[in-house]
Amino acid sequence: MKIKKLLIANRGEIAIRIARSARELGITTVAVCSDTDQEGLHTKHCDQVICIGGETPLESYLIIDKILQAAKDSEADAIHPGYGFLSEKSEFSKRTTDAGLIFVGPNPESIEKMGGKIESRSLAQSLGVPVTPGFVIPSNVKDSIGTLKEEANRIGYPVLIKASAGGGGKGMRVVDSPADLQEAYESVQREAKTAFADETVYLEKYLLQPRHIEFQILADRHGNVLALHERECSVQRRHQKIVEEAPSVLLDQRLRSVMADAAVKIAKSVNYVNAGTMEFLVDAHHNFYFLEMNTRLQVEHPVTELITGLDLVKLQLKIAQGESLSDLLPNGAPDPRGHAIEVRLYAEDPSNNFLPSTGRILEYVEPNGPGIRVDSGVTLGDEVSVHYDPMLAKLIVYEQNRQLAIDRMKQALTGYTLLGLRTNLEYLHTVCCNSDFVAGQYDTSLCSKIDATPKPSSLIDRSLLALGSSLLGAAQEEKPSANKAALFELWQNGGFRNP
Amino acid sequence: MKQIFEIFDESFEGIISRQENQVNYSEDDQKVEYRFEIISRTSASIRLRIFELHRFGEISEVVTIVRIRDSFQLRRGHRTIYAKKKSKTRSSQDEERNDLVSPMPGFIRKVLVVNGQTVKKGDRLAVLEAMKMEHALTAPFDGIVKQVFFKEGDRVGQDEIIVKLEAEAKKTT
Repeated sequence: MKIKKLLIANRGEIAIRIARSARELGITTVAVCSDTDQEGLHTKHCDQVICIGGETPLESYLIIDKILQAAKDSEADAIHPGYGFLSEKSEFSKRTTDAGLIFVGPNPESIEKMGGKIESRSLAQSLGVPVTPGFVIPSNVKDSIGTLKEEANRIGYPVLIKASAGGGGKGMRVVDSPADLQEAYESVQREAKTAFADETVYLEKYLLQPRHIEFQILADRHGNVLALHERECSVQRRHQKIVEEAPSVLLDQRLRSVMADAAVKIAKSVNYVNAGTMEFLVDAHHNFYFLEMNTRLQVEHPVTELITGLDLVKLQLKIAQGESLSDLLPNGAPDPRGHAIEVRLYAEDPSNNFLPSTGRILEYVEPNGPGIRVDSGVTLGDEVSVHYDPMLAKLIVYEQNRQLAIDRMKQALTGYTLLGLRTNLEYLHTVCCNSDFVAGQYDTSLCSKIDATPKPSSLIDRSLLALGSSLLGAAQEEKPSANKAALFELWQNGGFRNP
Repeated sequence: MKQIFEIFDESFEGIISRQENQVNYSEDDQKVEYRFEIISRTSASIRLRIFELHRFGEISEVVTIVRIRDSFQLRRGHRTIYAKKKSKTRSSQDEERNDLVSPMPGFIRKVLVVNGQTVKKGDRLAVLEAMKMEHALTAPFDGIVKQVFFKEGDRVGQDEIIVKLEAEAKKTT
């Protein structure tokens, strides 16, 4: 069945990216937005916009009823969930299908089997695919903290506490000692509830200095499964990926094909359909461990698109229409060519421990030129709010080989201007200049070794700030806001001024 | 015209003089001069091309500067520099030290202390959340909670005072 009208149940750059492919296929697009997001860039890239109300994600993008109602109202015949939000909720897949709509993603059964990190690990184990040591299931246990403590002692610290429904670095904490276990557990639960509406939490051994390598999978409804090679995602801060590349310099042809086969085997065992990603950790001795499967499109899918020349979103839509991979890709997975690197631009302040930053974008220029792609969710004048993920945009470059791709990335980063709030733009440049990164000799501990302290300014920099200050007028005295006035009163009552 | 700025923790004082589009800037014994053209501007931002004169001719580059109240952001090459115009009415360091401010805009997830409570250095006082990330506010020294300014669920801006602490040793009478 051909999709005529697609509702995109997401926001930001991924909603825009999906809309682009859909429109190229002649599909009409529907955006949904919260009250906060009515001016969101994604609403301007779709043919129709339905405001589903609410301020926070919990009041908007995470409510299945609201999304399905919007699909009904707009007479959409398919829903693409994007990543995050409801994308890995089996209930969303099920209810979309039950409503007679096409869900552009896997069926609810395989989301349940693979989306839950707990189930997917036992499944991988049963298929003979290695998993990280020391795994327990603390869910549905009355004294979950007690069980957690026992198990953590058994597998040995450091351990990782993760939300079963987690992903994208959200809902995850490393715990070094028993004293921190309870606090970390509760914090992960809260984050999991906010971000994924699922509180299930699990525990695993935290491997020191592994590499994080994942395989892109495409599967159709006719039993065909293809692995579209790997992505190297070891450059992470707080378990949040910030640089991804393909191919990985670590894998040789043998390991690449062994891991690809494992990924395909797991996908086949659950009759997986549509795009998915198998994440692995690889240690210094080239041992690999299955980590989890993401039953959705990944943030970093563009690097795979650039080295294969494929449009993964178009393929997702065609697979959802029932088309067969043997027609879509009669020669199988294309051989990888060249090298692609992606960096994630975050609204965060590297000089303030990478804490989120908000504000209005006052200047915005994207880089361009051959081999440069920008997937952005924001533009000039946009207000970056506290409600959503701090990722603003992705910058992806392509070149013949890794060294040339790094050079291109550094140039593209220099050509990117985003001012008005603090970002990691300069930090990303620092990472791309790091000698270990350039040499390809890095693991997940790379970022902890990179000094994020801003370098000193030069005389010209300071002269330009002085010039800018005089040209942009003297800073006007800020009027105290209601909140600040109230605070001032409290100060006085609290004896701040007159002790 | 004399200007005082603070970049991260460093403060600098420079003298800028401008004649038409020619800029002279000096700090102590260092100086720099160049010519500039305005490419575009709004009330809060300006994009400039600056020209530095060398033996072989002029070298130019494009830079962008924005102003957000009393702070400035400069984009030049691969660098982004965040600066604050130094204010003259700065509260004393002691007062600043006692005020625990929000390091980021967001929501108060949890308040873990009450007024009058004694806390030890490193104790968690409150948990903030923004953009799905949690951040704990901890006590920088042993002391007594003088005042908690927010409750759970409240929204806070960056640098707003969340908790006022008083060092244990020097009690105010």
